[in-house]
Amino acid sequence: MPASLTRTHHPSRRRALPLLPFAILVAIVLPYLTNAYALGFATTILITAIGVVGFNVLTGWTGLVSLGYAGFFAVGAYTEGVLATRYGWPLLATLPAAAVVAALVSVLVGAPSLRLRGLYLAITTLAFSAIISHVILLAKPLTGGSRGLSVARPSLLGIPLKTDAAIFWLCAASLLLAIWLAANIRRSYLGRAFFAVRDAETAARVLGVDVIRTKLLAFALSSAITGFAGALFALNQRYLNVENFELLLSIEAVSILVVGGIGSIAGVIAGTVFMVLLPELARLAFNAIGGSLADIGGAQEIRGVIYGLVIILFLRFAPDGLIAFWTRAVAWLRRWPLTG
Amino acid sequence: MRRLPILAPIFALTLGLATAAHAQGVTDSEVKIGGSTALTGPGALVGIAHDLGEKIATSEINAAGGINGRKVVRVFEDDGYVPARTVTTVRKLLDVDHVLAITASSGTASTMAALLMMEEQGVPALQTAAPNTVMFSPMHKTLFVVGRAYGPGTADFVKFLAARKPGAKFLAIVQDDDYGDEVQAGYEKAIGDLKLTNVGVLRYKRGQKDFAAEVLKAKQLGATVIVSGGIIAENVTIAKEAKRVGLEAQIAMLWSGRLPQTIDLMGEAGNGIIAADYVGDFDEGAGKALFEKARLYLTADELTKLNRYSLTGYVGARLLFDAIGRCGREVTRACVVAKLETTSNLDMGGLTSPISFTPTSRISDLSLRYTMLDWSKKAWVPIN
Repeated sequence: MPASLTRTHHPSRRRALPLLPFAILVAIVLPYLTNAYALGFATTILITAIGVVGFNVLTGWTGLVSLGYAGFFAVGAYTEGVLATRYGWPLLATLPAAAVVAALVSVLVGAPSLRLRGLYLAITTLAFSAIISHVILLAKPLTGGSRGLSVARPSLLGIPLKTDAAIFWLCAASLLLAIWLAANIRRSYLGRAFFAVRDAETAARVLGVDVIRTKLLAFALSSAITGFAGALFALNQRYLNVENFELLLSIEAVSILVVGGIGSIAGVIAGTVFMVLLPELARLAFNAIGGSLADIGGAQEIRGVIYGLVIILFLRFAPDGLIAFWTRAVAWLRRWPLTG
Repeated sequence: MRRLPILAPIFALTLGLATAAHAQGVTDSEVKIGGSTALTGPGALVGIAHDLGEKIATSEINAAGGINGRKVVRVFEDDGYVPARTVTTVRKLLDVDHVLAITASSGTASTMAALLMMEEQGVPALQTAAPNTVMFSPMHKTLFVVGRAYGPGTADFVKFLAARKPGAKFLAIVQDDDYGDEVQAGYEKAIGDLKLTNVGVLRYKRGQKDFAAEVLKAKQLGATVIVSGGIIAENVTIAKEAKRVGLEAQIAMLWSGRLPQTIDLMGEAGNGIIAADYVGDFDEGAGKALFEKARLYLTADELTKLNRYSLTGYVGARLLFDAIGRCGREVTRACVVAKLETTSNLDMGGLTSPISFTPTSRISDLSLRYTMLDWSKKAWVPIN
């Protein structure tokens, strides 16, 4: 094993650890402080963040540009829905099963895609998402086809997850788990191999990195986390329909990476909060202005315009994403007042 | 990373404060109702029209003093015809706006996506635009469907066509989804019941844009009546394709595509198409009278956006207002559900046949009326 790939250091962990008790406290009390609508948004942020943490492994760390996010998300969601609803599996079995099934499917997609990069891989994974949609429609006895599938909320260790608060806490715990897992992988040999493959594939090969194995592991790991997020989505929504997993979902995942900062876990969290809240904040802003703008604020299309505009602005003026602002601000504060 | 813990409680408290308002959308002076449908995107043709229909009904009842002295206030959300968004918008309507009832949700998938949430809170909900069997069989306590179910509706329609065209060779073109399944089931039932000549059922992929193969196949099979089971664009394309290849068959379609806008889209190729519907039109009878009333409440631009979905929206709102009115001053969600399920022969002034529900049935199966597209008048002309 090359020494350069095994060296580890933990600056990000040192920075993040003091925040952990505060984050846990907020997660515990939030359902008591707010209404179901706001809690729904918070849950959506958590689920999206988990999914994009997984997506970041493939696209942010390994440099494999994928548009298959929606497909893997759908695989996880339907695995949860089918196993919980049709077969009555307990939650402790369905959630890992969703991750495993998504990982296995990703290996099927990843294997023939190993020689592809850039746009070619993006198109291949896009085609995979389209295939998944058709499979869902065709597997009617299991998935309900175009009619959709109502998802039962199972119990966890005998405690029924009937309330939105319970789902929120489950998602919060899952996000912490996903961040912990991703942060540890990033510091491991495998994580460094991901970066090596992304930055200089030939050099990585020369250093002894098994590129094929690394890419497949990136696919599997990324899809497992994304599939897990899909399962949580199924529990939260309680109704699955193929229309939930359209191309826009994959585009949103890419957008979050761009806005947050590609490759950064903290960037994923910041990007998710920003992108999920942006349409709602836009609506509130339009409503505050009032008049005919209040009607415009409720329209999905104007939200889409704002959404697109923000992405263009980030690509043009802040390509390193929100996390770069934060890093620069912290550096400035550390040097202050010695800096101007 | 530190931004999330800071933002979360601020966001939570900001929105949480909004919950302090009245529960169930009823105060001494107003009743608040909500709807979620597509106001933008491809589904907006339906959603905007529905919204306007409700707006007419609400303006009308408020002008008459409201319901038992309470003004009706509407909150309408745009879900863009995306089921996941419907969950969010309905959650907002219930937990932030605290509406009494939900009068609309985009389509079948959107309604089903929000259904569990609405059922759990006992929220009376109406579906007047997509009378899909899944919404009332099995019965959902709080969801009331107004229209004619697709399957029985298609069966009635085929029988009507058979009476008009004795000895016809029938063919159906249906979508490969639950809507298509229902249309196909109704088609095959009528064919079986009347022992009609069926030359084929062609299924197409949802989202398909080119129907040349299906229309050529219909011509090859010698079909003389084509039951076009598309939604909007599909029916337009099938009609234009039939004209292009010179297929002299009677094209028939269900209500979803019977819009003023499709007349322009089909052009002369649409001339003679027969359509079935459970509501009338704005240019004849009760619809014409309603259009005159609408002039009082809508802008000139809004008037151009009216279509059959405005009538279904209007009828649904009237039905709900009737149920709320029968609750007197003690309006609760449970009361409205109880009054809706005992609605009996509610007269809609000729816009639809009378509406009825029972404690064991959540579909008010309305009578169909048939119209033929007259290209010279650019109108759907009644033929029954």
